[in-house]
Amino acid sequence: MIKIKNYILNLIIEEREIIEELLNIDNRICKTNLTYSEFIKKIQKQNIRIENINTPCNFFTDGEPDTTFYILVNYALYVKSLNINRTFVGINKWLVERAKDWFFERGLEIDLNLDLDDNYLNYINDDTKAVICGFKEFTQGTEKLLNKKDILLIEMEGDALC
Amino acid sequence: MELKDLLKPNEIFGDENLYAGEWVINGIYPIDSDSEKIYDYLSLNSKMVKGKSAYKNFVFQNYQKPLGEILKSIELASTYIPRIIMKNTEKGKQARFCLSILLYQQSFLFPDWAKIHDSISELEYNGASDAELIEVFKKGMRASKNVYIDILKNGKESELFEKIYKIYEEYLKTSDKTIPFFVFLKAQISSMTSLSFSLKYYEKLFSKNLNIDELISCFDYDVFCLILARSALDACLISEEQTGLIGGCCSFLYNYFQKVEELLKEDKSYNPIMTVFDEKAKKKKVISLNKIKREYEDMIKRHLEVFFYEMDGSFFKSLLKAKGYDDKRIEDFNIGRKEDRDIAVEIVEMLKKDRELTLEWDIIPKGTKRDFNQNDDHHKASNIIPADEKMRRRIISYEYLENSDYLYKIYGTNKFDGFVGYVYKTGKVVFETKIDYSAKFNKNELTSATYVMQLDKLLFLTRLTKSEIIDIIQQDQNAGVKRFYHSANMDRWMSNVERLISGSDYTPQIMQYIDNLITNDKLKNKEK
Repeated sequence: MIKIKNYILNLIIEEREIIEELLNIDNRICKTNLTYSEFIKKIQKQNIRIENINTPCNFFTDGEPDTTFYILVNYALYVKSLNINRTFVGINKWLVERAKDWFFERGLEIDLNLDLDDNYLNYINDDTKAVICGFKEFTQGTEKLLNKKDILLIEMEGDALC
Repeated sequence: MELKDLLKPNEIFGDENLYAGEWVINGIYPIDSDSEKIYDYLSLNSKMVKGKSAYKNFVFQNYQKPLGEILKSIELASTYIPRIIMKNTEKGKQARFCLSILLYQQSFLFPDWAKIHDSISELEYNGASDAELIEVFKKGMRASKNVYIDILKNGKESELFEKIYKIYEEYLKTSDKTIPFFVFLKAQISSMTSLSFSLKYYEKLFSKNLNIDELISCFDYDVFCLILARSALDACLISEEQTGLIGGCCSFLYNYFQKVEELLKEDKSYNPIMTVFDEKAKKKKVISLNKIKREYEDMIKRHLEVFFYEMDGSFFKSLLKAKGYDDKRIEDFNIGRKEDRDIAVEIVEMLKKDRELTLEWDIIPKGTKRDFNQNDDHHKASNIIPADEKMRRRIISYEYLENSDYLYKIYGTNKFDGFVGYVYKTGKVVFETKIDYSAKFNKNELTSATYVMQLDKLLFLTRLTKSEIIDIIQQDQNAGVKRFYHSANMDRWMSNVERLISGSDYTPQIMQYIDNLITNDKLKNKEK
């Protein structure tokens, strides 16, 4: 059985034109310059350890595509809500949809809510465990901002773009 | 650190291109009452050289002596208040003033002097050059001279005989000498010929700029600046009394006291003094910096509508851009005095509406000269290479924001002290803390962040107390306030800030387009 990671990587190659168009939109809005080949390199470069997450969590990310990819291939079943900091919305949305497809094709419809807000208003009274994932400064700053007790920080390696 | 290191002559005397020709000492308008007081203050506080006032000697050499040559009397020239501060402005501005003195002095000689005066006033209003004004004056003199010559030749048959004879009779009333009419005529012709020659002095004597260094060298620098502060304050108070507004003179005061604050941080005892003449008590008295500072602060408190800003061509250009003018139109836009004022009035009105903002923030539009002179660590040159990574990031953010297309900068005061905001035409305000070069950073400390919000959000937060702001931000969970963290890769920070400044975002239409792209592709795959 093909793993979710390889499933998505295959589709990235198959749907190159769509990916490029989505990157084009994201780059224009996020004022970045992420090319298709850089995108592939970026999401494959993951050498951080896998955390033991086994309950539904609210994920707060910096919005980098590699962060989203890392979450989807490792914790998709436990993502109650995924806030992507309103960054790289096009490509992140594509990643989420394709991850859902992988589960759907295996008879499992996952309830993964992609949160596109740029604030955390929806989580004020939410006691769900929070997982903050992204570059160091983002995780530290967001931890302080969320001011919640049950928080797990996951620091991504390498340079984020946006 | 001394005041002269902080407040340079070019800051004192301002940018002469701004409101060209109207003033020299930054913000102190040479209205008559002011000129007189400034002269008194300067005279009383000058250094003494060989038992004589250095300033009075300076005035004599630069003002009274050349004026005396024109008026043919040093005594007469000495009776005029030296409006020497005007001399550094447009070439010939002083000549224009002397011309009006001369015209007034000699007006009784000219049969049509009122007409000449009106012509000169009209030309002056329309911005004519000094050469044009002098030409009108010369023509008037020639015409008058011809009238006298005509009467001398033709006697009673001359057209203007009666008019000139009346002038002669008036002259006799004021003169203790009785002279025959033909002698009077010849004397006037000779006088006008002499006046025509003296006109040459205007350009010769008044077109060169005042030597500012020489003027300042007549004083102790700190006292000189204090005198100007006192003068500016007087001008503000006169204006307040007459119009209810304190006028532009406070710009110098603002600049001056900013520098003084810096000095006081180093030396709490800094308190220069100056001598003034108390007209009520009829004696000299000493006043100190502290007294002037208190008066200034009280005045500012009475005028909450007042804010401080600097402006130049680039500021106006950015304003025009914000108003929707395209680049070509901006280039074509000839910013003259009137236009400057119209736009300035407009921005003043706009900012007055945000009066609450000005209570807590100093508003400084882009295009400032303060970057490296201002006593503000935020403005230190970035060629200092910091060892600390946090400082490196902060300097990158500083350079980026400084070079961005912001409209104006706001410096936090009171509860916002330490914050600097950049306001953009999209209504976004980007906040940073001032660079603190002396700060020691803890490696585990949270990194710096940049905050971005809409101007209305800022106004809302400005009204709150510090603790209320903290509560609001905690409760709101970042609502309406976007934060971007400085990181090792500052390109990320730049693109984030650029995105916010430009106002680009995922609109519903773009979201729909993205959805369509993803869904259509999915359908195609299923078909396969």
